[in-house]
Amino acid sequence: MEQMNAKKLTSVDVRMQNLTKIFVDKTGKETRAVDDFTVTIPAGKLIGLLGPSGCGKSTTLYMIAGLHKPTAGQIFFGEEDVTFMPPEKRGIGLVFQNYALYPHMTVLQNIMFPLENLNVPKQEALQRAHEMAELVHIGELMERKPAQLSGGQQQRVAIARALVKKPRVLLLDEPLSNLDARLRLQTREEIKRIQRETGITTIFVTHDQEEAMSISDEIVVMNFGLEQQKDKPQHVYDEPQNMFVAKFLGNPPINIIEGVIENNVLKMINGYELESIKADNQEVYIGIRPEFFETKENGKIKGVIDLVEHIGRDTMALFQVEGYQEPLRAIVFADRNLAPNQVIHFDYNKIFVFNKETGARIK
Amino acid sequence: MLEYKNDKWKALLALAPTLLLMAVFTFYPIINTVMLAFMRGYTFGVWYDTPAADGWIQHFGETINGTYIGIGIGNFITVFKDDTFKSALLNTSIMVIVSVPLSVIIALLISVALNSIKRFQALLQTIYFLPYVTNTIALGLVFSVLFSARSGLINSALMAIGLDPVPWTSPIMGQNPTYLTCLFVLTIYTIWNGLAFKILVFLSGMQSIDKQYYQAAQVDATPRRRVFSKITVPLLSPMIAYITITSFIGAFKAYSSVIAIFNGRFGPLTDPNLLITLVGYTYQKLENRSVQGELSKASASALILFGIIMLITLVQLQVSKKRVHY
Repeated sequence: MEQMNAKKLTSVDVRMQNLTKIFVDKTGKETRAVDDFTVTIPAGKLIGLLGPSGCGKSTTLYMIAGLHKPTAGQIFFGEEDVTFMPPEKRGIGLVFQNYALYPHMTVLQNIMFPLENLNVPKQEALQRAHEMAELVHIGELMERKPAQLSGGQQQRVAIARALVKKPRVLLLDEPLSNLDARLRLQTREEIKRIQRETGITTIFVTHDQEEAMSISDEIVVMNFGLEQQKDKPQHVYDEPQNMFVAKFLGNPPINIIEGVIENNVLKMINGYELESIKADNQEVYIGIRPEFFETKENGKIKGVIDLVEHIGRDTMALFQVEGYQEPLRAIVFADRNLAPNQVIHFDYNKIFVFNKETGARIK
Repeated sequence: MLEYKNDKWKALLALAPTLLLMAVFTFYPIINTVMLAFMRGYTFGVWYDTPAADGWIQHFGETINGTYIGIGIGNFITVFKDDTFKSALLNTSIMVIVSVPLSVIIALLISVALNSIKRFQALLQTIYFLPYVTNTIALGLVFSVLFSARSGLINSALMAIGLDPVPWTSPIMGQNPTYLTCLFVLTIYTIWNGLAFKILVFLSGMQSIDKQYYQAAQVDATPRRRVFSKITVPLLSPMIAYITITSFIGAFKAYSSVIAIFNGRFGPLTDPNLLITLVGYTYQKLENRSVQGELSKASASALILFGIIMLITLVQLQVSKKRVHY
């Protein structure tokens, strides 16, 4: 029984309360990297912290690790307040962006290193190192040096090294950014599998929305040090709370066009009436994801096709709409014979409406 | 590459001045040294001697300048049998064995300390680097004043706390300086004199080590001593190997440090050859070059020194292949 559960690790939830980090540079200029951030990461889940570079996601991760001291706020692991606890006492495993494997040690020595620090008896340490190596599928590489490994293998070693001391929380900083496209796909499955098998609360940081969406149980979208939205990936994509989230998720990106609400009717600025809406008269931004469009005779939006790209299953079309400078992008099934300069009517099956000043979602 | 076919001559032209200088001042002397070392009874000439009694005509005796009577390894045997050479070999070896490891370790510790200090780091770095830009002889004078028997700071301090003054490099209270006291002063001087450059190299090496290794070690609760021995030292090993090899070479070539401390001699007045070194021995023979065969002995001892340095460097390179992590 004991043996069977050896892989399972105890997991705790991670709560951040009003977490704030202000960096002060030499000239005394303050930068709010993380601003009043309150989020609970549920125990045993894989959570992605997602945002553009400079949004404070790495700072948040390093505060959870204890390598950065928060300016204000608290961090809890379960019921335990770890805000002022040094990193080595927190029981975290951290995988660095460039893995930080010790180049002069073999894979085995790298994985054993944390256990030697904890004075784990040699025999037990060896056994645990080998168990971990099996878990991340690098059992046959134990005598190699990091330089002799591929990026993906190095990362597995880094994960094994982080997990071998049985941490309560696993933190991954941009885990896939140093891998090529094929390895990335493979590795993200691997991370998900390892997380499932160990059941450890895992937080990873990424700027790549596809990466975050593909493996996370939940994602936390951040910008300017603030939480923008936290939910299941698909839900964040389908129901963004504000324009930033809508623009940040999705590839190719969402179309954002100007519009107005007049007498409870949503209109494009060229006068096309889209739908009725219950809101005050105001200028708005309208968001339509490329795949929300469908070609339809007598569709509400009339455009002239600029450019057509056949991308396998789908066809992507850029089309100009009267009154707008930028073309809109639509992705439709490839069985349409679209051609440049063709006049076409589009309808849409979903639309987001955002307040022009705040970017908050109206509908 | 057709248009570059004349570049060989341009390159040669550009290199010519350096090549010419090196030929005259490096290659020829090296070849000549090797040849001289194997010549028996080589005569360099006597014209550097005081003019002969008759004023103009110089006495060349029965030898003629630049001639020799035979070829063989006799010079090496003579040099090895020479007591002065033996003590030079012993002194040099002791200095190397004591000063090199000590100075490397001390430099390493100071670098780690300096690297961990945030405030005043630049100031301290400058202070530690000052000896490097200061003249060796001037530093030697400072040391000989520092350790001077009657007015030196060290002895004054000893007396201030009620201890007897020590005859470091000159006699005091009827006591003569000993081999140990002289070696002590010389070793301290040698170590301190070499620290600046070593610290500079180590410090820049440490600053180029990725900080994430240290963060990873911190997350893994690595004790400080283990961070030093398992992370800093291995990652610094190329610099350590470089410094160790160059320090060995430098220590074997010790000469000016001794001269600086003992005011132009190789030891205290009471025993002017007490701390003679291999280079010192070679110079002594060179100064005596007008005596038949002495120049060859100087060449032989220089070659022996070359052999020793070469051997030790080869051993170190061999060792570092296993121990250095590039």
